[in-house]
Amino acid sequence: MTARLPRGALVVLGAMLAAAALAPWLAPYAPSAQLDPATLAWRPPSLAHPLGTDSFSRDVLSRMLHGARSTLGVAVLAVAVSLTLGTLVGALAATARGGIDALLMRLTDALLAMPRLLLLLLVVAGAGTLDLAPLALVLGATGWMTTARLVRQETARLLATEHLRGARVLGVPWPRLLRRHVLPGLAPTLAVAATAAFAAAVPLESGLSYLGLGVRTPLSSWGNLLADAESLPLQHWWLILFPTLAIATTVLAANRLAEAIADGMQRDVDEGTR
Amino acid sequence: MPAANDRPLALQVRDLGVRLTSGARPLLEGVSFDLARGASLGVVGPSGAGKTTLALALMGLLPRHAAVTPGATLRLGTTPLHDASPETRRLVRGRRMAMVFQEPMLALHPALSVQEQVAEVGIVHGLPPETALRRALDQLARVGLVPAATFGARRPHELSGGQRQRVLLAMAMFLEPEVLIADEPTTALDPALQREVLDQIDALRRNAGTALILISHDPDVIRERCDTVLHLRDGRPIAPEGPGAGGARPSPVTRLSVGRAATTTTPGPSATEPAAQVLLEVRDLVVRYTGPSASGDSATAAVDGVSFTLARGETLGLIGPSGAGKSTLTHALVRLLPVAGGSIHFDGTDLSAIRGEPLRRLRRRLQLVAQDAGASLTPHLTAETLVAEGLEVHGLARGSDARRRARTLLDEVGLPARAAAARPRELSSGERQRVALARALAPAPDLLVCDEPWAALDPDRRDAILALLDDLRARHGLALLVISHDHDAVHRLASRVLPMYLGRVAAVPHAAATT
Repeated sequence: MTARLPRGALVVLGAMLAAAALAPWLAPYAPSAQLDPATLAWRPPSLAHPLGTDSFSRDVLSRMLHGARSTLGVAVLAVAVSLTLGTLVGALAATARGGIDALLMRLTDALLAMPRLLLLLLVVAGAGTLDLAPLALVLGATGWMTTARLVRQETARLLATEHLRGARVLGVPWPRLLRRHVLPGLAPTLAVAATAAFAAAVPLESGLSYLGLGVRTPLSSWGNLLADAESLPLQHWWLILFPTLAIATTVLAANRLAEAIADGMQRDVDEGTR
Repeated sequence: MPAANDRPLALQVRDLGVRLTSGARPLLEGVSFDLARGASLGVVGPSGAGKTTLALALMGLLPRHAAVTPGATLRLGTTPLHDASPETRRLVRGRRMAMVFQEPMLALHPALSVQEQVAEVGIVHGLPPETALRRALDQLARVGLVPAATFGARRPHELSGGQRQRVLLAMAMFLEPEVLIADEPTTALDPALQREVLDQIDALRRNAGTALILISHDPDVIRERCDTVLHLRDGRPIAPEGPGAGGARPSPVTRLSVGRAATTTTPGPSATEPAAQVLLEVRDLVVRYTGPSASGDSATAAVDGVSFTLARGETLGLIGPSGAGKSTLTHALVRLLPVAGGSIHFDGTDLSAIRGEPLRRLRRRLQLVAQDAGASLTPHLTAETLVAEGLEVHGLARGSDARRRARTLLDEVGLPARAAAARPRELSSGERQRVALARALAPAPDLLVCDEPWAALDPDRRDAILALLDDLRARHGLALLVISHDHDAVHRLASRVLPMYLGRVAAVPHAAATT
């Protein structure tokens, strides 16, 4: 893989992840500290509170920074889950072929045919409240299907190459064949799948949290920050604008990165270096 | 160069060099030559000398980790190419300058029909699709793929190595370019076809006034076909040695052929030991291609009733023209293709009867060096890792011990020390072929099937490999099945030779040597 990665997208994603990691040190206030409900509620951005305050006089910047932890943390964990599941299913389908392949892929198709938000709502509604880790698990469990299809396709392609035949003739056993000859070849595909899955997980978490089904107060996330403004969104524009900007730039950057990696793969194919 | 004075230049090259962007040693330096319109230049040199690098630099197709050194001049007609934009280079490629690649399977799109691929050249340079498709058929007929409609509908995997090479030639000459670069265009062809294809290149060139740069390690081909010769060694042009040095047909070429003839091998022991133990017994073997196929005759038997035996320590040659089913037979022998009829017994074991772990264990004793040796190496692994793997997966050595033995083997097949840490794409095609050979030899097999093992090797190197194989045969009882269209090499190495034609063995000689 010799992709030229977009610097802007990497800077945005890096900054977001760094902000999430360093939130306790960067945030000027505790995220749920009610500073002075009598005088400091609903304050627009000012020097003391660059992103304003909310109805409980909590500092929005501090809540955004801590919110990044839940939003991005859940997204990263969800990606890890969907990537693992998707790779297992896709690689198994491509290797087993025949009946198992057909069964796994029709199952994947069936799940893909259902709207993901509906699946999520069903699970969340059934389970009641969810902590961050179970939320990530659920997001991952409903998001592995695209990865599975990508991985199956790429594994099937790799299995048909001359070099795989070369390794088979040498007598390389199946597990090692997959681990050493196929999996490294899958790396670029997995990179695309991971970035795309991340770009999908961020708004999903935000959406669920906005609906009150994901991350709940007192914990903050970019999604439940949006919900704080719901009574009077135009008057309290800063409560809408900043979380939305954070979600949008993160998703755009992740999509841009996925696209660049895919382009890089295509160039490698064109140059015959894969 | 007298020709240059009379005719306008097709290509002018001054001080061309190529180095890796990582700054290591130059792959090529100080190459200068003039090529007049319609003239021909031969490029010769041992494997790894930079012949293919030169071709890729001229075409503007260097991989991203390599670049032309500053100060080089490259002019096509009057168009300067050394500082041209990628878009200009793209417009030139295919239309004014075309190339026939060394490994045709790697250069063709696996999923498109041959007709579509030839037409694509015209379409990307502005021909209407219908016209391009129609002319593609004419072009296929012109390179001898008749009936063109039948061949045009096939995809690359349904063609033999020689047929694929002709498809590449059809593509390269489609728009009658000013310069044609042919990188070992005939290594995959048998001598008769080789002559035919080279004649075709010459005929197509004459009509179009195309200048030719012919890369080959076959001195005879270069001598016969080229006006001038460029010798490369370690990436540098070298002055021709010997008394005839000033001439256009310099002497190193002849020196190589003398060196080749000097090495002689004795016939295999089976000629003198009739009681030798049978290792491989093939009876009435039939192999069919049954995959989904665009052409109507998909169930044609590529191998149709072949029988032969091979004893321990014996060398059997299999020769035949391109398309005779030689490669199909080898794939069936190593269980890459299913057997449709007949049987293969390896040391008493019916090969079609075993599978899974027993088959995997048996593979240690039955190794193949494939025709497209470069493509058979996993691209992200180093040569050392690839060779060590054969030892590791059969429990013969592990870790540093396996790597040390891998380096010894790489050395034995004549690879430089730097090759151990190199990935396949960092090696030349001759070097890759030797890596594939070292990997096949690593698990100490009883039978080695070699499909054109010296196709990409220069004569010196070929002799060394022949000597190595013969030594392994004599000392360790290695049995060899050597597939080639090079009668000379096969006859020197093999105690018996089976001629194959249209999926059948033409005449089966008995155990007594017939050479």
